[in-house]
Amino acid sequence: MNFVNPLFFLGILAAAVPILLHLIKREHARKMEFPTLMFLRRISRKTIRYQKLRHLLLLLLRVLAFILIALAFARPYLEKSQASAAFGRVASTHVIALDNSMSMGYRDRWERAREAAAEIARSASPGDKVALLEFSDRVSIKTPATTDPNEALAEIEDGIELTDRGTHYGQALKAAEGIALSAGTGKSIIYWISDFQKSGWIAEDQEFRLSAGIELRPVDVGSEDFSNLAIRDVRVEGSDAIAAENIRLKASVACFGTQDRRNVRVKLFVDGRMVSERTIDISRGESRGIDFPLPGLAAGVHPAVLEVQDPDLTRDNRFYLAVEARDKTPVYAVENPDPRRRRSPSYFLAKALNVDNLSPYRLTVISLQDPLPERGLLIWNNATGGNEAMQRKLRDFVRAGGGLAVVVADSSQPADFNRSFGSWLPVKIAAAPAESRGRVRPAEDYVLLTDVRMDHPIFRPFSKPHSGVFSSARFFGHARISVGPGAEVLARFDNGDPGLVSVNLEKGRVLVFASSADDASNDLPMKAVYAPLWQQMLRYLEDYRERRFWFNVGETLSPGNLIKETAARRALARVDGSEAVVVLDPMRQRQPAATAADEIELSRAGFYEIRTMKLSTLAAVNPLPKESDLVRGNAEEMAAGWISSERAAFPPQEPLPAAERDKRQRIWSLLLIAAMLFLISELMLSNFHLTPGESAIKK
Amino acid sequence: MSTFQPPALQATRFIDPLTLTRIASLELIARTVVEGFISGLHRSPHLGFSVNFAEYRPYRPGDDIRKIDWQVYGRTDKFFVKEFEGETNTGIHLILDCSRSMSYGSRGITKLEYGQFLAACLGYFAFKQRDAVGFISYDDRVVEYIPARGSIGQLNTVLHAVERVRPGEKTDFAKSLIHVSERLRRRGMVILISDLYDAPDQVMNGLRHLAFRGNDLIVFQVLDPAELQFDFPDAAQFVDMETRAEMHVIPDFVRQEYRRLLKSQINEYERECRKDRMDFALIDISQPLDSALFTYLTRREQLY
Repeated sequence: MNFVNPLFFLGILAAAVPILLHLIKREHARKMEFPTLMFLRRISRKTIRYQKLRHLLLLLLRVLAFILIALAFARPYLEKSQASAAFGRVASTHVIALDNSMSMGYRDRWERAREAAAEIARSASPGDKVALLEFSDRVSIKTPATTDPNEALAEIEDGIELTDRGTHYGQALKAAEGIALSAGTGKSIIYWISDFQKSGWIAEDQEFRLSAGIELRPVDVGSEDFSNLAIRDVRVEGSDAIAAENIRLKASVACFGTQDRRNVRVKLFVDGRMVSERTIDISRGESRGIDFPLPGLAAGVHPAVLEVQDPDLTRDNRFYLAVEARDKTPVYAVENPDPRRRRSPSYFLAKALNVDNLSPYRLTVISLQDPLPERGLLIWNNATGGNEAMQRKLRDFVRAGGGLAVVVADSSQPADFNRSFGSWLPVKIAAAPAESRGRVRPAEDYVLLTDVRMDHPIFRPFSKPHSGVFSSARFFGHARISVGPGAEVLARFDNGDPGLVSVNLEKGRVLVFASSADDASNDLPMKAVYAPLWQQMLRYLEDYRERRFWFNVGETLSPGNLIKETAARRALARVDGSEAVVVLDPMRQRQPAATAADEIELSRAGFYEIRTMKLSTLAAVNPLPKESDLVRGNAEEMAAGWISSERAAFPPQEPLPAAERDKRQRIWSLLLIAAMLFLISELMLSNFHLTPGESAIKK
Repeated sequence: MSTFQPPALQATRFIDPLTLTRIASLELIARTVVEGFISGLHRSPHLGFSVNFAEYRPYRPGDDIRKIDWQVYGRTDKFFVKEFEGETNTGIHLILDCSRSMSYGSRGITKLEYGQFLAACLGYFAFKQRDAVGFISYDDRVVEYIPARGSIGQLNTVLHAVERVRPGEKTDFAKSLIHVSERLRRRGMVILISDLYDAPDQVMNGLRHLAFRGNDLIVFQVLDPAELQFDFPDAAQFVDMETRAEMHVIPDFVRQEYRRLLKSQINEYERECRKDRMDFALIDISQPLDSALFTYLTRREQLY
């Protein structure tokens, strides 16, 4: 409420006049002689009490009349919403935004938040609308704005639950604003019930402001004093190595809050059994590293849980991992039997791949006459194309998802290659420019492998500085190959000839290397990049992807991809993406994923189990690390940051129409009428019993 | 009769009682008031048998032929009747209450002073009509008693007695008036001037004793305007003038009820007096004396 003439408030001082007179008249009584007290003694005390009451009522009426007159002359006027409230109560919309992120599980915050929400719903006046939404880093409207608060109360009682999710305030308030604006009532209040965790405030929301007229009331259930332990910075080292003997689990236990923690027990469970335990001390604000060896893990995926004991907030006490111990992938190098050679063309390949702890591959040399293996990877190392049946087998092997590397060296005749591999690969060997045999022999000049596709998965690890230099290797001879549609040149020599070509054929992949895998045509085996390059080439051929040991709550997971990777690791035939899949969440409830191609949202911490008819695997899911940090902001300040600075109605710069202004100021006339009524009442009351017949005694 | 109001009179023709207090001589006061009062009348209605010649008037059939003045007939050959001022030998006793409560006055004149003026005026008036005038003052006993006489010096005696009156102590109405009534040997007129502050049955008992011997009784209850209106603005410790008892009173709170009780008692006096054929008049001492004189005069006229 504002006033046109606030100076008239000084008139309220006049209200003090009757009071002063009243007080002055109560001065110490003086003695006065009177002829007789015989009449005064006969006056009853009841009459005196009645008169006292009457005089107090008169005093009240006079004071009120003065105040109302002063108010009327001050010309009060109301804002639109106030005016509506004054002349008839306006229905309000109460939007209850309840934080159900993981941090609300700290001690009794969740219970208090629910009680606060229920109290708000219960206190809504008849005609008011009540809406309920729960938010974390997702927003869910539980009940839209409705005049029946029992719907919201029922949801608060049974329909909402604490989650493992993170916090994001901005989107929650945007959703609440949407409800408030669509409710269509004159007034909207958003009750923001949260622990006001700082991590929930995201910088990108700082420009957002609630619409004008929407009131934001924070309900703070958090506290400045807290203590929470959480496991962070988990790393699995050595899982990629052979035999999983050197796998180590490293992590740190962080202590958030204001208290030091002593004798904190940290346990490691693998496959449901506790395998190790530590007891540590942590000071507040610090983190303590822990290291667990995981020896003797069999090949495959193992559910592992790191657990810290902390009763205040239990949801982040466990850290879930799906630790994978890999078995070595078999690689077969096919050679022509040639007793004249003093060493096998796969000599350097064997040296590079058969390294116990450094390679996930195990190379076996087989002869062209040997039967082809049904699983694993093939390296066609400087061997002839073989007969047509052999080529058909190779083609079927690749189409079924197998990986084949073809090394074109001195034994590869252009005619033979073009007849055999060239029949189903878009790769041909051109005539040799120097010699009719179609291959380049060592000479004084050489070429370098300079034009390399560093963005390709094979070369991506070498893209960082000092991660590998290919130009140091000299190629004295190479096959001049030409590629057709469907082939991709991944590296070229400095003379423009393709050095490494990739061909995708249905589910499988083929790599064609235009020089020898040993030192017969180049000195690449003498270079540091030799072993990594071949390991990368084999990874590419088997379509290997780094396995993620865990996911975070809120991420999406493709069960199909996870199944395919698992199948690849186990060197199984590739899984069709349309295969039926069953996903069970940590509560053993089936998730709605009909096929492996569907994606599911990870909403709970724990192990998700993904099953198909052929295999099953696990996905570990953990709460967002930032949610464990319970550092909080000031609720009022945070709320103030979202409120619009604009006025709810009638911006100041917009002059009001005279009729509207008069309408809003009409309350002054009501005040004046009320004052007049008071004065008339005072007059009637003061003249009560003073009718003319009683005003004087006739003589 | 007791509530008689002279509607045709103009208040300015009468002297304010407060002004009368500045005149030292009670006789002068009485003369001033009575003469002024009489001169205001159109004619004296109180003519009768008297030795003092009043006027001649033409003879009308029915007049007593003995009243014809033959000497005038001899000179003028017309019949004239000789008229004289009225004269009676009625005894009039003025009784003045001089108790302590009569010494109250809020407007510069006390009830007792007003009563003295009124007694003097009535005494003068009665003396002028050749009535025998007596005077009695009392409080809880008879203080002064001057029997009614018609002698020449009686007026001065009465006026001096009136002038000597001083406020006494408590009032014992019945006892005092019984003593008075025992002293009144001859039937006559009794005029009581008092505030009648006593128990109503005591008052009426005393009045009935006075009236019992055949006296015509006129009761003047003199009250101060403050007693009538109780218009005190502030709270005060009220002290009873006779008993010295004290009481804290907020006038605003008790005014209505006080007035109601006082009026109720006055009405009771009026009713009782009328029943016993007494005249009762309430006199506000802020008003001129004339209303009291009218009351007396009217009563006197009815008697004779």
